[in-house]
Amino acid sequence: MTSWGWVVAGYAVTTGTWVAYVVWSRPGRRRP
Amino acid sequence: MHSTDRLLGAAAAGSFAVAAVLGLVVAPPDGVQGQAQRLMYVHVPAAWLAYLCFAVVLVCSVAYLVRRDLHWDRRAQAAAELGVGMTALAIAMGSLWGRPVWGAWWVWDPRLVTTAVLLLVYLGYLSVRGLSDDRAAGARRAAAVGIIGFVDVPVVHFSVVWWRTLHQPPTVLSPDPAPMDPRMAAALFVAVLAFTLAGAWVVRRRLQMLAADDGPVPAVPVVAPAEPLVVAPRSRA
Repeated sequence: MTSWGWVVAGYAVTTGTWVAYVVWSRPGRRRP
Repeated sequence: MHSTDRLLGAAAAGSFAVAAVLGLVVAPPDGVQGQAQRLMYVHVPAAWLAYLCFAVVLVCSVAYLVRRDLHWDRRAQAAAELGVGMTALAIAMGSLWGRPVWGAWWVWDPRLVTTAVLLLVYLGYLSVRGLSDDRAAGARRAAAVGIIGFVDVPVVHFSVVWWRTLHQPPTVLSPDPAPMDPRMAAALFVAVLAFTLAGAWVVRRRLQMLAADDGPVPAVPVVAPAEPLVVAPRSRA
């Protein structure tokens, strides 16, 4: 993988983590 | 949504956008590590936010044991959840950074091992809460873990100073900060700000859910009826 490939992977994982956390912590979320 | 939450959410989103531009475009590549060094702008803020979360857990745990008010316990829980997520993210970003720079996803290095222990300690903190059906007992035990577990935070931070390590020493939070290109410093500062604002926002949202789980505090204490209920004898007529 190129040097930029590692950077893009890192930013994608970080963005995914935050989006998942924001969805999970949404007040009023329906519980399983 | 509360106006403070809206403001925090907007500030977090805006600072994330600025941090991405600074980290991916404005900041120059590192002279030795090349473009891969840009992972610092997500790795360091995740580690910083994890430290901050665990400091909040420490303060709220002490406050809970003193006041015995579940507000403090909920704050500690919400901070610990985010801290666990950020520790895992810091480890994952370190791993993605280590592979191209060190040639390994993981090495048994003091900084990496003490950070993995930190993750396990706070996973334990979250697990301890569910060991008892008694809400107060769970909160009390978790508070003890939250206070004792914080001992590992300075160990993680100073591990790169105390022991021989592959990991670089502190760049910013050091008595003798290393010189840094101002564009790199700006990218790091804004990314730390973005993570901090986003952390405050999601913890506030999470607190609303945890408060709803605990239910409303009764306005008047529930007491037994003053007069015992008397059942009228059945007529024999």
